[in-house]
Amino acid sequence: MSGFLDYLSDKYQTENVKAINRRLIELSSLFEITQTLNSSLDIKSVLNNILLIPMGRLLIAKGAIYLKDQETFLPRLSKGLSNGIQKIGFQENDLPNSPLMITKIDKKYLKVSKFCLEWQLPFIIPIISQGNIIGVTFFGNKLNKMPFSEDETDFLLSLANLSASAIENALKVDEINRINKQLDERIQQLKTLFDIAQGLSATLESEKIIKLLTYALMGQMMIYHYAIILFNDKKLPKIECKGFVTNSLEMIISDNPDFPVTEKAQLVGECVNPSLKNRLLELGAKVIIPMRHQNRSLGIILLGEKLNKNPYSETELEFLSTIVNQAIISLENSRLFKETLEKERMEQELQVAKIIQKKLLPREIIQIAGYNIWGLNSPSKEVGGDYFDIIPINDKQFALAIGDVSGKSIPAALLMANLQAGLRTIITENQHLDEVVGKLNNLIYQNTDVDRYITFFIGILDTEAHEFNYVNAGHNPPFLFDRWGKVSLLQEGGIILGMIPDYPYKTGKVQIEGQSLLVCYTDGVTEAINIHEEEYGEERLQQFIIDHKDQSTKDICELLVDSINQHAHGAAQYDDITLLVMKRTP
Amino acid sequence: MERFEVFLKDRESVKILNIQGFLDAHTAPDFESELQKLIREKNYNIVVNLDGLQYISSAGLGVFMGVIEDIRGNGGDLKICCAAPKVFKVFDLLGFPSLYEFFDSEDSAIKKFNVKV
Repeated sequence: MSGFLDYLSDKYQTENVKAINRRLIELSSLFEITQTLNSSLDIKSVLNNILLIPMGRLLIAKGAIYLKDQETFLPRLSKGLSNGIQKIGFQENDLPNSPLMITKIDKKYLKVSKFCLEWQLPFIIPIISQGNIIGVTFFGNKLNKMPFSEDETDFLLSLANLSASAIENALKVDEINRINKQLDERIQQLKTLFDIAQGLSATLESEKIIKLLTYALMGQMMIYHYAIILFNDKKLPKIECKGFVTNSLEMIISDNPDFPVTEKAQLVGECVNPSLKNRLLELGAKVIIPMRHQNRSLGIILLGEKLNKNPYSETELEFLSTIVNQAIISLENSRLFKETLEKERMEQELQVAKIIQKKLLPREIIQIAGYNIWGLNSPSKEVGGDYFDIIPINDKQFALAIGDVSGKSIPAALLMANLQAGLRTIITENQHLDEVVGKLNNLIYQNTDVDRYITFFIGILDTEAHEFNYVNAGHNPPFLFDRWGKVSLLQEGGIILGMIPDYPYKTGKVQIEGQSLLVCYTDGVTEAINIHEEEYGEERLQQFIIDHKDQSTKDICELLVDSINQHAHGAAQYDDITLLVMKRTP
Repeated sequence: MERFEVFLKDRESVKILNIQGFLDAHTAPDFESELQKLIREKNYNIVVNLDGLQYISSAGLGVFMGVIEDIRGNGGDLKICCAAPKVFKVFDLLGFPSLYEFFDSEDSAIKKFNVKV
């Protein structure tokens, strides 16, 4: 008997203890939930617990949770559904605002009850925060087939209520994290941009700039197929390409000379020209980036698919436009730098040419008894190859020479140096003037190409006989004015120096009477143009001399240069002005 | 913070997951992903050895519930062995023994699979 009572007492106690323990687990579950939910700001972990805790506690094998995303409730997590949950969205009025067990189609909640039955998730527990449904949990039946008790329903509801603020917090944190991640990505892009900009601006070689650009594109976008096509005026475009079939690319470009280029980077899929779009897609290109500078199209860049197969995002396209613009600026800088260098080099050359010319021209004008002589050279900006010289041969003989070397700058200056050296060597040999010029002609012929030549005039003044023997090798005929102003042209001689070897030059001979005036000049004088492109001309020159013939030769030369400058009136002159004037004093 | 670890080993055609430490809300995802991996690789005969498990919470139990239909739906089973009395009490109170087979030793759990096969 006592054994039976003991048995009853034991059984009663055991049942009691079990109930207490179960209650304890229930409470500890809620405690665990509160603790977990409040300690976690990670939405995944919060949702995980909202499903796993009741499943463990109530022996449920399936669960799903939907959260409100803008206006629609969308699935966020499911458990025990092997294929995951179908992407069905619910609206707020599809859902009950208190726990609901669905056993058959409910007309009031038609959509959601259908869903519950189809997925065997009959128990709906809404998650409510401040009177609004922010989410909903669905649970399957208990695996032990027992119905949900009132306590258990309360437990689920408490859980849902406890989780509401945790979900909201976690969602906010999720959003902040997402924004942070975007910011980080932007910062990363900006950093890259900064690095590239630094690298780009530090280099002025266009090849290096292109290399840097390709590294940046490949590294930042994770691509290895690209093409950089640089248009250069009229010539074939320069293609730097990796991973694309160069032949097809060349054909696409030659078939589309006016490659439709947008302002900014563009997806190939959005290209307006359908045939071009298809050919580019066939090639494997995904993005077109225009290379533009001040409305000029400098080229295009094509990019292939990213290695991770992700599509190009709007921010990435923006980033690409920026990075390419940066490179274009560097390329332009490089071009301008090269131009400046070239200009500087030319300036330097001109400077050298000027120095050569200055050194070759007489530093001071020899004065000859009974005569008044002056010469000057007014070099143009580009330094023509004008030359004049006065060389004493002996006490009574003096050579007067003037010449114009073809070309400009250093080549002209060098040829002029050649002429001067040759002339001074040959003329001391005291030969006939036509032979002197013949030798000079051969010298110049041997030392130059056919496109280089010299117009040259030389005369030897005999100060006793007042005779003037001269040879004119294709130079503008000097004027000889007599005391009354009558002019004769000194034309005897032959062709320009350096064209035909062994050419037989002829010597002309004139008498220099008292008050006669000899004016030698280069074409820079007569061909000086004004802004209407009118030349100064021989007539004007002759008239000027007649008007000023009583002045000193120095004054005549200087006033003539003034007159020419007045005529030109600021129009750019491309040739030197050289004068050699001789007057027999009365 | 208490540690939680999962060790996987093969015995015959059965996968043994030995879990140790504290299985609670924080560690449940680790355990869940191990189980999901086995299922993805089509291993449906699984024994979970609780030899080293010191504590299990409702969330931990939820992991067992979340995979069981999938495993059984594919003709396999998940059996539990070597639970310490304190741990088994929790399973027992919530009625797990009516849904899952519990064993005292790993061998006996495996044997049960072999009999089936």
